[in-house]
Amino acid sequence: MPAAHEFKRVLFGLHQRAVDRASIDLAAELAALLGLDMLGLYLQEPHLARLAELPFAREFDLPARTWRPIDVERYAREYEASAFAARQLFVATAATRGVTCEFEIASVGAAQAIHSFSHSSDIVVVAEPMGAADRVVGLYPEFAASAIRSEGAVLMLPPRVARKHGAIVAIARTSGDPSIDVARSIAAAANERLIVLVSDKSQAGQAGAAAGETGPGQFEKISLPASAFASVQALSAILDQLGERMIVLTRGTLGAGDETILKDLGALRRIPVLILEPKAVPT
Amino acid sequence: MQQSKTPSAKNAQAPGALAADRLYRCVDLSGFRFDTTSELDSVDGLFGQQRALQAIQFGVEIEKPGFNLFVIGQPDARMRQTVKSMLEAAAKEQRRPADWVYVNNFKEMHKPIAIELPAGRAPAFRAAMGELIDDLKAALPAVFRSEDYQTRRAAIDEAFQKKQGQAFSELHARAKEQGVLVIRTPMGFALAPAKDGEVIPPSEFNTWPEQRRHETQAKIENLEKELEQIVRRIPQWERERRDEIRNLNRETSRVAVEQSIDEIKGKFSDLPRVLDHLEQVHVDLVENVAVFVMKGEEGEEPEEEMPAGGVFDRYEVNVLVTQADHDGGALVIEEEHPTLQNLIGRVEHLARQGILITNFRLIKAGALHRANGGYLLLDIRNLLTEPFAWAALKRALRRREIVIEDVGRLIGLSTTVSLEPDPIPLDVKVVLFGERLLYFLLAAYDPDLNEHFKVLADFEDEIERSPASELVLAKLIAAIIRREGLQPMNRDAVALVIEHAARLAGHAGKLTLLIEQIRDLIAEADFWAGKGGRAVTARADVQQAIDRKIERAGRLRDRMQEAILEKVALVDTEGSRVGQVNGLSVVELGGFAFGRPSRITCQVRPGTGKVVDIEREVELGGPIHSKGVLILSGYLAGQFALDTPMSLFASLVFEQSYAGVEGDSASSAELYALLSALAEVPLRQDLSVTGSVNQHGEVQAIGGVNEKIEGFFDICQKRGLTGSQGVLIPEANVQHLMLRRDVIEACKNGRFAIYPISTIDQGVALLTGRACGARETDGRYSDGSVFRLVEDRLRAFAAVRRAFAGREDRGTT
Repeated sequence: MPAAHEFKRVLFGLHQRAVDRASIDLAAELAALLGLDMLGLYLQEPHLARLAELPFAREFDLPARTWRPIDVERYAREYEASAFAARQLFVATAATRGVTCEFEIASVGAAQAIHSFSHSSDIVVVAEPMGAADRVVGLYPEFAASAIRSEGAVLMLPPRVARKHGAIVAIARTSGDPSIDVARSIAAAANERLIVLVSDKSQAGQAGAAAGETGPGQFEKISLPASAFASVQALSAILDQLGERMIVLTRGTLGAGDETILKDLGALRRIPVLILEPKAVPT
Repeated sequence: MQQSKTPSAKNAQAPGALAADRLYRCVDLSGFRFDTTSELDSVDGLFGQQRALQAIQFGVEIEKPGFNLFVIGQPDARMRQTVKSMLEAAAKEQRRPADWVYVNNFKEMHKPIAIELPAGRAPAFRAAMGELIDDLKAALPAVFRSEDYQTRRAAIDEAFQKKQGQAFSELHARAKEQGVLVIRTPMGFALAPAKDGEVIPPSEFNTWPEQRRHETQAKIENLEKELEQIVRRIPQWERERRDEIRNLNRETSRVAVEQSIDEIKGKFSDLPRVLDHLEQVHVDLVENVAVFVMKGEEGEEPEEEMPAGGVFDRYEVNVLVTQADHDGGALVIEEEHPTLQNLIGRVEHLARQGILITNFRLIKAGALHRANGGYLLLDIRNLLTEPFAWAALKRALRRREIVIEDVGRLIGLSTTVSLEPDPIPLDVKVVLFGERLLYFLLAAYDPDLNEHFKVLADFEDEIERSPASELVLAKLIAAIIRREGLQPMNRDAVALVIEHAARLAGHAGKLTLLIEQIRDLIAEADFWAGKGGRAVTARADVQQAIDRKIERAGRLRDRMQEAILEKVALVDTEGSRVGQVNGLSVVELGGFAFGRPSRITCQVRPGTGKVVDIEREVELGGPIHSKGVLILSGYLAGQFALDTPMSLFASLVFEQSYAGVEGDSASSAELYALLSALAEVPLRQDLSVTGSVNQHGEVQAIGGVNEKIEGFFDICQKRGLTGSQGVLIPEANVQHLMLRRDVIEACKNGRFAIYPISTIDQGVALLTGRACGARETDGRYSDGSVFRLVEDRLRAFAAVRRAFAGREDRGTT
């Protein structure tokens, strides 16, 4: 896992159901704060070509609320138009943040696209779609799963964030957790408070707060009993008092296979969650 | 009394010339001691107008509908100022009118609601509503940004998402179990057989046994039905989510809105209609709280916006009229430009993307709104010349309410969306000002006039002249001088102003009440006094003001006189001529009148008894002039050759007259010319004649006598006064004489004369120097008399005609 300054790029996965200016802007803001480039990766549904060849296949048209035959040519036109609009939005939004960006179109499936385009120095943005159906069906679930599995860091973006200003909160098992450095970089660039929540094995049910390091990288350190990390609700109750705008933590901090917990935490808090890879975490 | 020189041939019937003291009536201020106007008290401009003042007083005091005032008189009579000052005095004692506002009608936006408030409170209401909106703009977003609200809102959204997500997850799971993949297409969903998360290639699918293919297809069909059911339930879930959010918004906003509204209610608790409106505002605020906090969010756009302006405009208050800046009493409003819209108000429009739109904030008050509860002063000429205004005023008075009407709709041209504001009850006293002619025409042709304007106030043009009235006028002069900030005027100057007032009245025994003209004279005299470095305005200054004004306006007069003196226009002022006499007419242009001598001639010959008016034949003569000429026939028929058919053909003409001639003031002159032509007796050309005549030969009064005399005098003076020159005027006009000083001086010195004439006989004697004659015992006029000669000529014409008729008869048999 690279240190904060070793991130090189923010990879934003777009598809037809996830072209949202607010989400792109949040990602661009992070890129600007950390001085990173951006790559917009537009994903196309790979199954449609085969689908059209099946004799009985048909499409339920949502606006018309009726079934209609599969029309591959129409899909092509719609994807082309959608990709063009996505590019325009992506480039324009990045430009407003002063971020250099590129834009690619992939029609090989989300997993393959992540594999092909992402690097360990990327922060892969997983923007949750507005619609509930799109969270379950289509490209998003596969893209999200592939991003989590990738070597890069992942920024989970809820569809509507609760606040755009507030503390950057790092959640760490130890004071040497790389999430603290990354959160420190973001907090300094955003001119926000940095709060570090550390699991203190010595405490048995009591939380304690203390000033952390002094100087430019000053932060507030809050030691929490291990039980505070046990559930989303417990953690959220603590975060309620912090007014955070972003959570940074290393995968596994909340337990093995904590992706679901992190996703739930992000949804509950409606706050971006930046998940770092644990590989480089010193032991 | 000094008699002027009389003609040598004058017989007993010829009247003597008027003495100089009858040519001008001087002011008698002997009973009043003052040197300058500084010593005189001031009086208002109301003297001599008792009739009008009583009418106005009555009109002001009576409170019944329809008793509005119609004030008539000459434009220079200062009617408006006089009435306005009276009304203002009365208005001070009256109740201060109410304020009126228009507010939005939340149920029917095209029908704004009018609310009456106690005088002066409308601005406070407007300010309170403005503050309310400003407060809510700050407070409501804060409330809606709160963690509590956001959490509850997120919970609702999450529940909705969870419901949908769960349904799709279950479908997805079931499909996966059955080897089917749910695919997201650009516009919807599709299902396909799958293996390891990939759609089975058609080539592979086709290799499957038929039964397996059918089974798979059946599974897909079942899953499609499930998918369809889920999708069809989404709108219902969405509606539920919206309802829950709306309820949450209502609940969240209610506390903040209630508190603010209650504060305003407290300030206006005595005004039920305001409280009603605030309740409507309250409901609307709660229903549309989104406009304050979440405009632009999905599903939370306000359902409707005001047709013009911002979304908050609907809560504003349009103060139509307020008495906040008016201390007390009713208002007296003058509307100089009474268009329909200026009168009854208007609904303005704004152009938005090529469309004209409006709302209640664009309702503007008219003069009726501003004057409501008080008095509205209008000029009837201005009112009548504005399309629809007079009819709209009458409608408002009849309905006793102000309805704002769109002129475009009145003429059927407007298709723009407009408003129907609540009518506002009307309680106003309308005062119309105008000329008498307009009033009489309206009275004759508009049956509504008496319904709405029952009180007539007719301002006098002049007042009887007496020492007392002269003194009042002197005091009025003093008042004008003080009001206008002019320098004082000495006694002689005041006297001349008063004498000029008589001249303006056209009557030595009256004084004009056209105060505006007096004011102009005083101001101009003040100017000349200042120019001469005098601290007190003297008589000479007044005289200079009179002379200069005439001089400024006298270019046309001078050119006409020049034409006569250069014999371009032929008018003799000496010698005698048969069938020719000097007549006098008055030319009035731009308020300046002057007399103009004209030669009138007559030719006679045997005929059918017809006196031809050449002016009428060529349509230059007006009906009254023609009437005067026809009267001559009547006079001749009744005076001469009673036993003989009238066998005369006579033609009369105003020589070198190229414009219209109207009036009968020259009819006596025409008769003299006719008699002269018949009798073949010459008429004196050093005399000029004015006066109308009736069939009995009585000479009747005419207008403009002073100007006519002065017009002939100017010509004679420029040619050189001979001492025999003069003017014959009707005796009835002697009372009107207020002649110029130089004319009077000439008469006093016997160089000019004014002869009062009451009958044609007198005029004939004076103009011919011969007796006109009287019938003797044989029924014939005395030998050698003018009338004898006339009658003999007429008989001769009759004989000629009989002889001619006999020849014709013989020739035809």
